[in-house]
Amino acid sequence: MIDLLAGLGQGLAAATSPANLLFCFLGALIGTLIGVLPGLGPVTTVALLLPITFHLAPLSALIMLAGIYYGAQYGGSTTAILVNMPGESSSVVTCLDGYRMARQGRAGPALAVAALGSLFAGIVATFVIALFSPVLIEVALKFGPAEYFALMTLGLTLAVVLSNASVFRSLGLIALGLGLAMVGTDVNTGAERFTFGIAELRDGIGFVPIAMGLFAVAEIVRNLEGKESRTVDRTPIGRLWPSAQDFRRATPAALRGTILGSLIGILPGGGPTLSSFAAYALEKKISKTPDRFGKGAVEGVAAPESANNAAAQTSFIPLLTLGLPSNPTIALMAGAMMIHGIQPGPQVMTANPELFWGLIASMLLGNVMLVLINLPLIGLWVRLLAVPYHLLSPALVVLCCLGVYSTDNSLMSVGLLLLFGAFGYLLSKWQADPAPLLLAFVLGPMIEENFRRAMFFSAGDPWVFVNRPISGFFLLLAALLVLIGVLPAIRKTRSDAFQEPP
Amino acid sequence: MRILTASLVLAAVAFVSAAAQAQSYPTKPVRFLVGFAPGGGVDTVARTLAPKMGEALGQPVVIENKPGAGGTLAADAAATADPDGYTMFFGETGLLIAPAIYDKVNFDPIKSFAAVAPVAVVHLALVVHPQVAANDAAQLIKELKEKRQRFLYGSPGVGTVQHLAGEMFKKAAGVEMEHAPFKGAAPALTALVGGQIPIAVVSAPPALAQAKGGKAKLLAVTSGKRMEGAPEIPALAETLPGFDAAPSIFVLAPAKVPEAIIAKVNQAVAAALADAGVREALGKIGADVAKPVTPAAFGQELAKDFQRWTVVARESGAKAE
Repeated sequence: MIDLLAGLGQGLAAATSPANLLFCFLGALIGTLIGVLPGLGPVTTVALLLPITFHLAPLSALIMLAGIYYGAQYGGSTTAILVNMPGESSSVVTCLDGYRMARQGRAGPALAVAALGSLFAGIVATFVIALFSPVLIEVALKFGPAEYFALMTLGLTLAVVLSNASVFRSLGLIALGLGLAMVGTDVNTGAERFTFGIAELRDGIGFVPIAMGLFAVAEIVRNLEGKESRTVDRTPIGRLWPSAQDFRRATPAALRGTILGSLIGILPGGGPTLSSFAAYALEKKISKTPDRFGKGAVEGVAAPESANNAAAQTSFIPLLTLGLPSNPTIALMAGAMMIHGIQPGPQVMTANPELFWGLIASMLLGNVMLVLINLPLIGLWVRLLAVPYHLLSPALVVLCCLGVYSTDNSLMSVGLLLLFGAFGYLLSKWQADPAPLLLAFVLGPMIEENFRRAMFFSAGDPWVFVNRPISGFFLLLAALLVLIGVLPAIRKTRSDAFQEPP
Repeated sequence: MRILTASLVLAAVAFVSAAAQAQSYPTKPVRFLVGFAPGGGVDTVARTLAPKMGEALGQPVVIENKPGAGGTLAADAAATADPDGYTMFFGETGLLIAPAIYDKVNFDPIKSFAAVAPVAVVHLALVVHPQVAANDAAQLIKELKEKRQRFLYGSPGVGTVQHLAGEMFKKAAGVEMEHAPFKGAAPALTALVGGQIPIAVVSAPPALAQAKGGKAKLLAVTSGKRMEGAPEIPALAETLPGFDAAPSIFVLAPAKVPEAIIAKVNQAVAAALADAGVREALGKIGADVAKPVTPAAFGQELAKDFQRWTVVARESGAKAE
């Protein structure tokens, strides 16, 4: 404990130097901006800014890059709430209830809850890093392919739980998501699947065109189909600050989301995404009024936003304790450390304590700065919704296309965006919710990869999944979820089917 | 006759103007394509060189990332670009392997390009989990030969130089290991540190850091000679004579770029590589700069490398069926 306080003190001293404060603010600001811009994600931004950081002190460089990374999680929720445009995979879930809230004229409270939930989660997760890093990394290293497979399977069963649509419709969309995820080069053999000889498809379909097509473009088309206007124009902007009831509902949800996000974030791979889906599903499951979800429930914004921000923070643990980056953006930060002559490895904590603690302390400051940047902006964002839709919609479509094109400089992606936009519109006509499809699309490749790797490591013995305690536990949990979640739903759908007139 | 004269005159004019073009080259910024996302190894090398190359050319050098399909999308774009000398390409060994791996590759690594200059060699490391008894490559070979237990080795993916280096090691040492591909170097190294796989072939600097922290044992670099930045680590060639499996990074141009322009870019690369700051920056990411050679000599080297890697890739069975 003394060590921790001494460490944090040393870190705060380093992070509050004027230069580092400035870079922390810059990182948070850039992160917010790129989070708001569709498509342009933290990976691209960090990569583009990497050469600039060569001239900075190592700690300043890392503080700024880290700020961009967790700042983007903040900004991503803004467009998700305002215009149903998930810029990051982790903000897909925020669309579900956040955008509904905006349509009800409650964009202000939704944005405020997202910002405050993220602040809370960010601070808690930073202390989790400071206190429990060494313990947590040991657990994370125990995760072999079998455990990953079991965890991801559990995540996929959540997709069924979190959907409002019927079980069978969700299952159909999950199957489609898994199918789309198979496009590309197979990791295990290098064989091309469903690429039809098109070189651009060898790396698979990007997440950004699918997510923005299904959510944002589809929503724009839907809004244009009716008469001249859409409802948001008619709804009053309403209050900017959440009500007491909003706070009462959001606080426990944010707390649970933070815990879930902190834990899932440590695992390499889709930490923030999986954690935001899981947090949403958990809230819906334990809510006394699950019907409100998908119709503008404030818990549906607080939980996933807290979870993805907590996960974004704790995903630094593998890098900070072992020098092993857990996702592409953090891998770039590891690259930045290398260029500064600090080889990320197990020794960073002891060999460069100032860097280690300085970065952690900067996360505390950065999260506060993010709220200071974002809260005053809420009024501005909300006023954006007052722009007449016939002016806003072409701008949104252009922004989507630009964002998608900027991810890989390929027109193919823009084509895919429009294709999935059309498909998303059809889905809304069938009253099917695209979220399960997206979760399956994100988790599918990891499930397959880890399943096959686990089977390969065990020389074809399927019992590894059950014999290993962590893996067995997750699979049992998934089975239970199917039983308690899906069975009543099936019964309900059947009774609904019976009640509905033919 | 008049037609002949006219065409001769035209040809002469075209020739003179091409020569004049080459003389004044470059009159605008030169674009260098990179087949990988910003921040990757090739991109970092390219961006490290760019300012110094720009100084030597007298025009800015712009790095443009066109990632995808293992760098082959950018290679396609470079092969079909205008051969006016304003589009160049940072290639790497994966380009030479691609035709043997992918079903359909639209370029020929040798014929579609003009070789410009070699840039650097990136070192790979043969690492093992601390619980593996072997402390050097010879002991590992002995252990692999003796024990009848299954040995898995991890790599960043099928058809990567790391994978092929593992296959070459198996063949050269006469041992058996099974290949476990991962999506990139970090997951492979994480699995090694976590004890899921006993052996891995990954790029040297992160492996070195894990070895220093006691989380892994770095047995050798897979290159023909030792790494400049870490001369204490033996090269695999010391145990298996002639062994050399390290990816290299180089500059290519579209096939029809005039020789005079290629010579200019070749010299700009050499000037950048001679810079002490550039050498130091590259050393930190495990890349040793190449010795400057003429474009012609480099072209021959490249053709030899292409043959060598094609054979290895075919033998590895990493062909996408």
